[in-house]
Amino acid sequence: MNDAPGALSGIRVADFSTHAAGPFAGLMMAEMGAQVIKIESSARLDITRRPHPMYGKPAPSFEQVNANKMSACLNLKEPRAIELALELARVSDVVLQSFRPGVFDRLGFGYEALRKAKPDIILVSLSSNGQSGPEHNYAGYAPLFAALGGLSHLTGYPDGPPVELRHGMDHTGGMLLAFTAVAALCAKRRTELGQHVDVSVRDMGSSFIGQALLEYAMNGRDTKRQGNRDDSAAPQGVYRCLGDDEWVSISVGSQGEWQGFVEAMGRPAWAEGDKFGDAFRRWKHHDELDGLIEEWTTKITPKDVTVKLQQHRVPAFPSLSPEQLMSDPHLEAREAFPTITHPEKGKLRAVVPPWRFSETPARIDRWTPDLGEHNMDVFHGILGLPRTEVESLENAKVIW
Amino acid sequence: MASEKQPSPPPTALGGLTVLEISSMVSAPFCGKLLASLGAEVIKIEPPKTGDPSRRRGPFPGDIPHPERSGLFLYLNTGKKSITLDLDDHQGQEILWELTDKVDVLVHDLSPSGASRWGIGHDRLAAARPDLIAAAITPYGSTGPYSEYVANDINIFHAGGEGNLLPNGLALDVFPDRAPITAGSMMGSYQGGLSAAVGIAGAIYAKWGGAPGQFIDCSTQEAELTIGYMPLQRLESEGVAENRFTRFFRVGGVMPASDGHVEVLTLEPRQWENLGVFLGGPDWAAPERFQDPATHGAEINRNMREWTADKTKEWLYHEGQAAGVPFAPFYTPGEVFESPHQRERGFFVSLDHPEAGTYDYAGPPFRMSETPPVLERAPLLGEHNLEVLRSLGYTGEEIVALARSGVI
Repeated sequence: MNDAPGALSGIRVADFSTHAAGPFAGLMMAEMGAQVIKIESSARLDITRRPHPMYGKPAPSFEQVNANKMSACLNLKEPRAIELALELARVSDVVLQSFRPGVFDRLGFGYEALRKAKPDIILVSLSSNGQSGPEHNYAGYAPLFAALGGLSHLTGYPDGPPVELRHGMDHTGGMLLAFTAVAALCAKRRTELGQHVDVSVRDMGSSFIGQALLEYAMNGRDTKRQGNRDDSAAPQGVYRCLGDDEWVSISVGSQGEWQGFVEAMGRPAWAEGDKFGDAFRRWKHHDELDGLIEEWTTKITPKDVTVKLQQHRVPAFPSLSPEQLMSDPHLEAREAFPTITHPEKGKLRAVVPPWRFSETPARIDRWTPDLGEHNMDVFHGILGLPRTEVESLENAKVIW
Repeated sequence: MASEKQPSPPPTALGGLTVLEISSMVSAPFCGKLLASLGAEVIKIEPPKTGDPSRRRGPFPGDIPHPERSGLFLYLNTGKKSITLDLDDHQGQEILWELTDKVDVLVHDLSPSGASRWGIGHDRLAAARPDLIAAAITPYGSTGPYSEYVANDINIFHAGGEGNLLPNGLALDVFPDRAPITAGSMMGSYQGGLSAAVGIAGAIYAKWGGAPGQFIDCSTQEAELTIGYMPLQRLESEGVAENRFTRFFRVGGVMPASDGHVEVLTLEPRQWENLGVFLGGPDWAAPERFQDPATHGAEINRNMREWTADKTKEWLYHEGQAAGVPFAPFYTPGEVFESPHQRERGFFVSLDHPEAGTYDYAGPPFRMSETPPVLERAPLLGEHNLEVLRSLGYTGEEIVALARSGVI
């Protein structure tokens, strides 16, 4: 195994963000080798440290989203804690935060205060609606900003309601946040300037529907949700297969793919006639075509459909459940679920970083720290406070 | 000179960096677009005559198909240069190889065999171009049994786990027997491009600090797994296998409005209390009921859906937020386009394109105070052939000959 330093090795990130989106950005940076310190507090436990309103116990997301990080406590209601936060900023390259816009400033370490502490600091702020504009102060969670951004409108059955998008949206926002943080680090290498980055995850949702926004700009028309269909392929869909709730996705874009598809099905008579002979007719008779395809797929497993179609270079793949993903031979061959030892739960598998660097390997190798596990490392080891002072600040509920 | 009076434009994060992009449709183009928005010079290679397939996909102004007027291409290729090159042709491959020596970053979406066929396989690049950062953005990654599988957006979304878990909530209540669904707007492909851009930015940062060039294997399936890790983690740490029938908000979620739908989500106790007050304090919405969503959720939602159904999206959104309840409308693209909030923030940017005309485009979804992102129009097919080939030292006569023989 390549144990060379990661791409962001040497970078220190003070991560004040909570919930899912901001912490995910910290995780991406930590996977690339940055030292990421999660600043949290018993006075305001992160949602992932509390019983989750949906799952009823501390959310399992915490096992991964704060992996590779250090945990240090600061009760930001205490003036001394604010001073320590500024001290920490002074020795950090990047500060991540996802408070409601304005809160960070009110706490006394907005961008101006941070810049005073460290002139080239990079502050990356994430919020639902951005740091400005009439709705900047509105509350937002993933399903809300996916709805506001327009992405959810395009998701769902054409004759049904829109579909809410959840953690994936948070983490996509975190991915964007990580992109901007690394971009700002690149800029600093070149210009020696720090800066304030303002990421609106609602804007991110909108940036994922750019072509639909142009459709409106060009033709004054709202793109509709299409279920599993798409303008550029017919047939395209998720088809029922042999087994309980087993499905395969198939997408036939070109005439060559259609011929491969017919071949893979064993040249049924219905597929060889004129009715489905070109892309336009297949698009026009899509419903009928879907029924005929499903007569074939329901007799075999998603895996068999996939193998047969891929042999003919037709895009197809099973719709994989969590269990199927975690036992998939391809992902196993790529070591997509590395095992990390957890102090209480033993060995648990995590999800691999999404990039395989040949020279600056990314890795996930430590589970989420306990709350305040690194108080001494951070306040004594990094900031240089005497051990006794760290202890008395813990007792005074400042480091808390 | 007129320029003396104009302030010089602010620096960009990746100004001076050159990127070569071999790509089609969404993932790799979105990655290149993000790099271009940071000021990188991105040269996109397209097949002669037809160009990127996204040029045929639309939407088109007035529904008249035209390769220079496809909304998908125009949006995903902002700020890039375009050259045409027949990469099945030996001379085309030669020019590609020369270009890999002139750029800092190569981004492509080719499988291992596809890359080797065009002479830019990983081993050859690693040996001859040690300074180059080369990223392959592929559906299943550049190694493993599926590395040569072909895929469109729908396949990737269902290969990454999220597809199998959608829809849930109201859409599933309405159609419990239908197939799991794909997120709209080719979202999985966008996510793959974004994730790859993070890795590439990391490699650039490392290189500017003295690290060597390198190869980055970016699997969109794994980007989906990372982004959607939560059900995997639940399975691994708790043994709970989520599926689309169990994965819904017991309280809140999608609610009907008189003119569409809204989302409401209360995760904090104070938000439940606010919601009860907002609803007028009915018994069915008493705070203690929210504490036991498994028992009372269905009844709360049934009543709440009745209550929201005769109110407008905008009323529920603004009045709900004012009352401390997280509501949001499901906006159509047109409503996003007209959104006063995003308009005031300057999210939309007007771009003029010589063939497509002038439209407001969605802008970069982030602000940078010192190195602001840039947005410029997409290129015409082969618009920069002359400029790029000249920079490689080809003479005018050679360039004409290359065009005549169909290489460019």
